[in-house]
Amino acid sequence: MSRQESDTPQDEILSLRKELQEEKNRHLRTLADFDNYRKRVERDIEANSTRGKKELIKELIAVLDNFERAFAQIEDEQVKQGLQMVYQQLFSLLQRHGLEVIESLGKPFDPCEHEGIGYLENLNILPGHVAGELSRGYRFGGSLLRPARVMVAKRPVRIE
Amino acid sequence: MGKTVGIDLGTTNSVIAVMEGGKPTVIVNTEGDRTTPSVVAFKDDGERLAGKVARRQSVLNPENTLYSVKRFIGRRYSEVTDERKLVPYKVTSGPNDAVRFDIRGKKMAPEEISALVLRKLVDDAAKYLGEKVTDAVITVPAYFNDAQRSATKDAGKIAGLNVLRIINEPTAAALAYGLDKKSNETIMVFDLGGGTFDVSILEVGDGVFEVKSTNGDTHLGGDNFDKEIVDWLANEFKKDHGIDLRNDKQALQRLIEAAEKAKMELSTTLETQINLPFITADANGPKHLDTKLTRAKFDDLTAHLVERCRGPVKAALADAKLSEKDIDEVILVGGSTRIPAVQKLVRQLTGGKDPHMGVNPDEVVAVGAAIQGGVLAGEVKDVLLLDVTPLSLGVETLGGVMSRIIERNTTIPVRRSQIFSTAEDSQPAVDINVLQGEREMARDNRSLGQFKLDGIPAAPRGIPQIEVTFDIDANGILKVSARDKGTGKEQTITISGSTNLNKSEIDRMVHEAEIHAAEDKKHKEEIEARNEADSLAYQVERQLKDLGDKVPVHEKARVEQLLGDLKTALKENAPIDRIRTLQGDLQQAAYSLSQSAYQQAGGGPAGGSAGPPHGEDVVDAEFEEK
Repeated sequence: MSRQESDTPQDEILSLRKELQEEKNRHLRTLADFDNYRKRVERDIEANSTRGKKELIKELIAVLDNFERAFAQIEDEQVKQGLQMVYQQLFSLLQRHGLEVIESLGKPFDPCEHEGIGYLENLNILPGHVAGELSRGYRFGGSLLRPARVMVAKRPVRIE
Repeated sequence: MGKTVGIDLGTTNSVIAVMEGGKPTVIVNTEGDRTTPSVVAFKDDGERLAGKVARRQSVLNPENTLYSVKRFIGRRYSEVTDERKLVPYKVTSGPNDAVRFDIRGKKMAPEEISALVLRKLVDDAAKYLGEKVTDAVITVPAYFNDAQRSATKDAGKIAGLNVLRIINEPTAAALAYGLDKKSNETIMVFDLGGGTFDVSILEVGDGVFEVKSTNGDTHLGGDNFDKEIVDWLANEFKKDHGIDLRNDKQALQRLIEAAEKAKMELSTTLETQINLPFITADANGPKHLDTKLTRAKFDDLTAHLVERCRGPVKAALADAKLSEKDIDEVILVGGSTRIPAVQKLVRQLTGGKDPHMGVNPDEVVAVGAAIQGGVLAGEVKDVLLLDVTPLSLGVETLGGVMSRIIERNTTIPVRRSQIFSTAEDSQPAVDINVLQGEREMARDNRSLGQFKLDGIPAAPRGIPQIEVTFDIDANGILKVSARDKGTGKEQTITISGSTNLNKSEIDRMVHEAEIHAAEDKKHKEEIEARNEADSLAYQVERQLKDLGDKVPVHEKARVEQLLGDLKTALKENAPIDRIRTLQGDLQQAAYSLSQSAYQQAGGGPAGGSAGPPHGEDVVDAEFEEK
């Protein structure tokens, strides 16, 4: 950086002061940025350690779904029982690792945990509450892994 | 002052990013996602929802769930006759023929709805950053007119933001790739998103972008590709089983999910398995869907969609009065540009040019907006552009090996040191050969300079501690110093320009290192094995000398024999296997040697090494004596 010859020492002091101030500012801001970054990295590391597990469990939920679909269609009781044991084994394993089922039936519809698929005419369940579950919802480590797919109750339309 | 963010307010999804320490970062929302659906819903109790939560209740509340609002913002009611018919919510007209939505009897402007999406993005960003977000740069399509732009700006204001600037989406994408630094180039931005296709041609000069032409298809995107797969799966299934899965809500839902997954997989693999057990049932029992979709078949199914991109690209070129060879840079934006057939078409239409796609195409617009925000807030200019060392730096050690001290891509300024020692007894000097490169052997790398540190007091090898320090300042000037920790004597060399290599040279050196990685590694291991054997021979020799006649004669003779064999083998450059065998034998003999020596001396701890003590931080690589 070249300064003009005509600059008096006073001018130079002023401009250097200003420059120093700017540098100080920049330095502090970088430090602050870095500090915030460091804090978030710590948070992210924590999140990452569960994320890998979460991804895997998310994919395994599709397998749980298929077991449930199988139960609904298998007629041979012996086979069904055996399969149920395999399912139970997988399910309790996932539960031990932090998988939680979202109870939805009879609860008020809540888009934070439920995905509405349609309405069901139902007199026994309050309107706006879950009347049927098409597939289960799950939480993992306290946060939503997959919403429950639900049908919501509504009053039958009266034909007059 | 709070942070400045960049927001890509999309038709289907929105993304928000921020500059941090001079680098753009995409912000994760409270649901843990990097994109947020541009959906807003009003519940019957008056509560407002935005993002994924709003989308989850859309089927139940279609009249009060607003999506694709971007198609209406800043437009007149009379202009949106077609769009109006495609949405389930009520679109009406307000003052001056402006578009209004009728939500539970209340008239709301598109700006107000977009403001709720922006508010959600900004609130989540504030949570993530731990500080207030006040200023924003928001992007709009290049074809947006003044009314649409100012309505978008108003949406920002309603959301409580200070909108620093509204910029074009293709311009933001170009900024994300740093193309503002180019002079007089023509850039094509090809943006195939979830539901819209835009192509823009820009010209850049002196850091200013000018939109030459735009074109597109307002109803073409990733969803169309998914639908083709769904229809194919359903048709095949119907052919085999006579059941149309599209009539079963739940089965259809599974098909849609599987289709999207298959599409994504086919961007990286040549075929994918679609497996949907118990998809339905008839009188004969359960039915499964189990099929394979190849990329070729997928390309075949979607060829007509890919083809629909061709016309707009040609039209945009024609409007700009350019031909394909006038395009200097191509940028891909939008998730659907990951589809190989789409990329192939883009290459075909731009004279075979390799498009930019290093930045995530779903995020590139928000990233560019954040960069623009950083510039406007004065952050980018202020933050030192931190450079990195393009190649590794190190010194040559025993056997011609390169010992790395600073790894490539380390951010500078940086200072690193390591302690080395001598390779011979009474070695008076060490030569420091400063190397740059990625190969394992010194001779394959570039020597930046050499110097000698002499005056090392006579000492057995491995005893002197020579601290070698590499210090690169912010200007890329490298200072290498070697200091004898015993005497404090120091020598230094200064090398400038270690960081300003041209890109092709760096690429060549890195590439060569990759090609030779396996053989280099083998070579280095051999040298290390030889060094190790040499070091053992040296230790045993000293041990023999130290123990003197405390050793039984026959054992001494055996050890001397083995020692002689190993030394000869080393001198003759014998195969590494032979050296390893001899080394193992000698090691065994040396153990029993010290054991019997201690036993004779009246039983001390067995198996101790009589070799020279190593300093704790002495690295096992030693300088070759010249």
